[in-house]
Amino acid sequence: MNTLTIRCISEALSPITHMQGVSGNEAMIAREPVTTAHGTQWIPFLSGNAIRHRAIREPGVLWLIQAYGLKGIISLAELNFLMHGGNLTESNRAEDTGRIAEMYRTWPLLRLLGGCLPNQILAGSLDVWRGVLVCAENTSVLCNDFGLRDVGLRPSEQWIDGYQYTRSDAKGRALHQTADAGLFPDKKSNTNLMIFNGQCVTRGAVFAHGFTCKAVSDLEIGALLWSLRLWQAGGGTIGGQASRGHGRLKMTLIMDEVLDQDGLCRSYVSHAMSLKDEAVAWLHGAFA
Amino acid sequence: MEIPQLLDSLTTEEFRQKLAGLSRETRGHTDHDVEDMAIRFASILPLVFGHDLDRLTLWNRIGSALTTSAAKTVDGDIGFFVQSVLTHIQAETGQAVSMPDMMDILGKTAAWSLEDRQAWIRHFQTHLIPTLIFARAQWNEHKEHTK
Repeated sequence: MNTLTIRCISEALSPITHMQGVSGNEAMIAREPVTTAHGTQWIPFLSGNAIRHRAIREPGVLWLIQAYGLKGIISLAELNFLMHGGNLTESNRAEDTGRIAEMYRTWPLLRLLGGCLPNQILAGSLDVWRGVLVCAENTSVLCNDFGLRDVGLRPSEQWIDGYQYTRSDAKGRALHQTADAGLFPDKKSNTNLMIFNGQCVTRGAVFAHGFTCKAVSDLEIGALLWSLRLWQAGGGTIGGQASRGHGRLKMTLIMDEVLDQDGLCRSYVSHAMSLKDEAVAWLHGAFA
Repeated sequence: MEIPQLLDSLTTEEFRQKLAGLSRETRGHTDHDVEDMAIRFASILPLVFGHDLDRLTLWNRIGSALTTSAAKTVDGDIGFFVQSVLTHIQAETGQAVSMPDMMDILGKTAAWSLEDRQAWIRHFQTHLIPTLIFARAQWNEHKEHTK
């Protein structure tokens, strides 16, 4: 058991639209206040919550569902536990340590991420860092966490742009396909074209982020790396508008020591497959 | 199932080198210089505004000329940018080439660094309306002096 810190950078291969809210028809990018020598600035970031889900839990769990043949078999409660961490819906006064130990043994990915059974909270061992935009305003944290020297980075505003799309109305071009054509004799005057737009972080911007794995075995590290590889192989998207090509990130590990990625991943995959029946039995037992 | 590729990795030193590409532009001129030059350029465009165009659309058309030309220009190509603007407002070639101010602006901006030229062109997209407000004031001042 050891504690491992993994630092990474993720470069935007397409506009990143990790949003915080909307103003009219315009989607506003997620920003956090950062205190700088020039006052408080609002800087785009990627939430640890989004990275945790999109880059680790979702790809890792979907792979297990496929590998264990659970599709169409597991209940919604079980799926919510695997995919979203689950909910505490019953009294949690009795702690079943045997059940926790068995989950840790059979589901290394869940030991890493933690979760919540109906009557028991299960702590995880992974801290996911927020994604920090590599820009002048974040120099301090980049120097501290990533060993960067102050190289005079560009200000964040140079990495922010906008996008605009239109949602058409079928009345404009395909009304004749419907049974309602007679209702709209003047089709052009009735079209209802909607423009929607928003802010985005531009291609080429880089986010620095990381993972702290606390008191973990090689199996949990393997589960983490395997999930990240699956995420990257699946497009590596984060945030919204992926259906329109947004949100693609290319992740690179920052490591000075050699990390046996392949060996760790193989051990995890081998372990997960060898305990398939026990893992599935544990899941069904926990939600029986 | 296809085995996903290994994640790429960099050392800390390689990471630092990669960040050199994200470092601040080497600007020789301040934002104030860029703004002044932008206003000056926009303020002389009424002099060469096409005779066939409706004079009542003067500032709207200059605005659209600057915006669309800035959007089309790559690599800080000042010559292309100016050509595109003048074409958009249907400037008469003979009139444009005989303007000392045009020569001065082209000469000075052509000597700027790539980053400064890009900043100048980008300024018309990001600060168009304030630029036109000051340009119009300068143009009106010019008209008063030449009455």
